[in-house]
Amino acid sequence: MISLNSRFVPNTAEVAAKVLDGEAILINLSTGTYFSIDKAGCKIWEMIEKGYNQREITEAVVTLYDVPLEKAKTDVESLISELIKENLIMVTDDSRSVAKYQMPSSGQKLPYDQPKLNIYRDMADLLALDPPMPKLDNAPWRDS
Amino acid sequence: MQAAELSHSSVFECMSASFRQALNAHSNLASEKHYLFAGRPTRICVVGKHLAEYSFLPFSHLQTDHPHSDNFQLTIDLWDETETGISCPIRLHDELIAQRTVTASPDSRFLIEQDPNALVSFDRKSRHFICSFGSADKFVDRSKPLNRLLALWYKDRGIPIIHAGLVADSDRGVLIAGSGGAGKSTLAMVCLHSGFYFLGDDQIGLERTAGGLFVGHSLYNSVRLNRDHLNNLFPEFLNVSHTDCFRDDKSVVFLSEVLPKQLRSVVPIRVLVLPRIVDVPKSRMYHATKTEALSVLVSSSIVTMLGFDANDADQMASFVERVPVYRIELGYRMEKIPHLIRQLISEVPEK
Repeated sequence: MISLNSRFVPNTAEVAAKVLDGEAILINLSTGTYFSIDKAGCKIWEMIEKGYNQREITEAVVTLYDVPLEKAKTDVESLISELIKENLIMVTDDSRSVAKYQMPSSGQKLPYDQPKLNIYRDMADLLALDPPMPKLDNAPWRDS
Repeated sequence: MQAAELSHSSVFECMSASFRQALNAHSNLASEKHYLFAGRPTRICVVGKHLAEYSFLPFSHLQTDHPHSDNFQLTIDLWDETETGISCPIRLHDELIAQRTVTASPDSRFLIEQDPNALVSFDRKSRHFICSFGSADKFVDRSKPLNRLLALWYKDRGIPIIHAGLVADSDRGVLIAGSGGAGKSTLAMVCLHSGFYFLGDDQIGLERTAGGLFVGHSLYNSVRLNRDHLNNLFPEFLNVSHTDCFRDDKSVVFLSEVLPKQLRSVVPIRVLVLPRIVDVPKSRMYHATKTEALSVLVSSSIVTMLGFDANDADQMASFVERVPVYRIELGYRMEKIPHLIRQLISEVPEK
């Protein structure tokens, strides 16, 4: 059951993620499906990576972007659900203390667009056609 | 003997013994050449005259005359079963023979790849390939032999093989990324035609140097071209082209046979371009976003690269952050494209 106090972790066993120029690119290494999220969605992803809970993420979105609290709450919840459904993040029981999120100082708020998880399955379809490949350990067969 | 009854290490030992038997019994059919694969000394030994022609040709631009007899970083031994009369001692189960399969030992040290005509055993620790081919005439992937498992040897050296082409103007490399059919080979050939150096049309080794720059390594000197483009744009290569065993609509040209002086083994990469073939006369170029470039690089490489992992994605991301990226729309009229690319490279500051 996900609550406002829920924290999440990226599924690093199967997913590689990189943020470039304010856009997050996520790749499922097993299936070949890749995803992108930008703007507010990218900010939400970055906060998930840092370990903030859903409440803190929602508060940060409202502080940074020109969006009412209820809308932000709905959109953050919706994006998180979608990230879980696509196996990109998992709910964690980790109760480690995360440094208290420093709310950005009030200033000009950024225009808000509803976060959208863009999904690209074209390469996943190609990967599915290939003969199955073995999973390899990252063994140290390196140059001496 | 069925491969399923043996461990991967035992398969390697059996193959090794059979190769030595073929070599000892038919030394008159054996030939050996030395290369530098990503600068690493490599030895290829082939028992079988016809098999040797097919095996050496795609790598000929990497050949070296300086033998490193005790210090090879890679050894590739191949033999022709028909020409030598020495059969491969191992077979997978019959139901698997119709497909190309790759399997690994539990510790990932040994890998086996088999198709209907060939069996390849690779020991990652000793950096040794042993390959048997039923017949040289059925050598399926002549344009890029051993590409899947060879990519793993490169990856073990920190050099992921990405799905991209690479050309160079003097010492300035232009990496060309895109999925199948995007126009990588066509763009590479248009540039080659205009005097650029060629390093590859769809597989390049991406290495980060000590100074943080990225270089691209050539693996093969072959290029696969759409038949229409070959007929209309590069008719001078028609007489030297070969049928591509995997794609009916493509032909293969070995550039070492026609333009050996325009082949390079390694070059620093200055620019990344993402081609797309469009149905209009004029070609044009414009800035692309870094995320678009990373998506293209990763998504196409993940399909082709065995063992693609987060480190590879990270290396590609670091690369994309470092170089300018452009979209290039390839219209019917491509004659101005090399000039555009030269202009582009000249505007990128030396780092």
